[in-house]
Amino acid sequence: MFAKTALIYSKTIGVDCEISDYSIIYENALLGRSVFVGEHAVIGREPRPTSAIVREIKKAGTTIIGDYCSVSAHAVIYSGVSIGPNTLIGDGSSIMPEVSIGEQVLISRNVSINSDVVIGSYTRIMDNSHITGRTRIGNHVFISVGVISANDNAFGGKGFCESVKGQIIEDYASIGVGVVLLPGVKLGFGCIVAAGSVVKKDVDPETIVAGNPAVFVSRVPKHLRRY
Amino acid sequence: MVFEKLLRIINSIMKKKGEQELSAHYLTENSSLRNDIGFDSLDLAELTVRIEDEFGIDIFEHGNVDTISEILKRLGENE
Repeated sequence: MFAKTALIYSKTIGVDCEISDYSIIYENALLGRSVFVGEHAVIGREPRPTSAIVREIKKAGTTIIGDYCSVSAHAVIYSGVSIGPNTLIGDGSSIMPEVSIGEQVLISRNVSINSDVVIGSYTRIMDNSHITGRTRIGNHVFISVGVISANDNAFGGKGFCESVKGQIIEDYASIGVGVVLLPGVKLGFGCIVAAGSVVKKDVDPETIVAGNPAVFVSRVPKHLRRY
Repeated sequence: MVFEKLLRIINSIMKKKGEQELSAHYLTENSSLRNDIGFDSLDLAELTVRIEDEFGIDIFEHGNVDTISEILKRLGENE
């Protein structure tokens, strides 16, 4: 069912899709079957950079939304994004070009994801979190509300150079409310970062860290493991 | 003996937090880890790991525990 006020330029819309009022599906977007698109959502948007943007913006190509996905109201998904089946993109979330998201992922409300990011399957990123560019996130990762990550220790002073590095977050890592992840840190398999921590260096697999700066607290006990 | 070992583990966590260590008189079998001793989820995680290292038993394996007597029961002390 396509709402009358939806603007659908794409010719590749799967069967049983529901497209709500005032949404825009650009021609480079490919929707699988039974995809839901909420009110005012935009899919396949091309970025329109100005000289204020320090990184080169390439034409990123097709955006693919997998079968049975939901793209909720006011979400904006740029060109060159790939989203696996059964994934939910929450209200107001923004996903920049060159992002790949696996299957059955939850991107909750108002999550912003910058360019060149890979997110594995079954991962959950909760409300108001920010995933910085050049980040790699594994499968079954949990990122709580208000988690903020950065990728540039030079505050943009050296442009978008090689030293700009996001995080590597391995499978089953759990990140608590309001954590700050500084550029280039690696979070090991199954680790837990306690709420409010500021992570300045790598976290070993299956360990708990807490504080500012985040320091080792304990191994992860069995009852807190999700694997 | 188990009680003394448990008290030592709890006090090592209290010390790490910069809080006053507990005496055997203060810590009763009815003391609650959360409400009386003030342990948060991180403290409980550390306690669990240290008890497992000492006794080889995961006290949370069969559900939550909160009081000292519940821990002792899981460790086979109060059966």
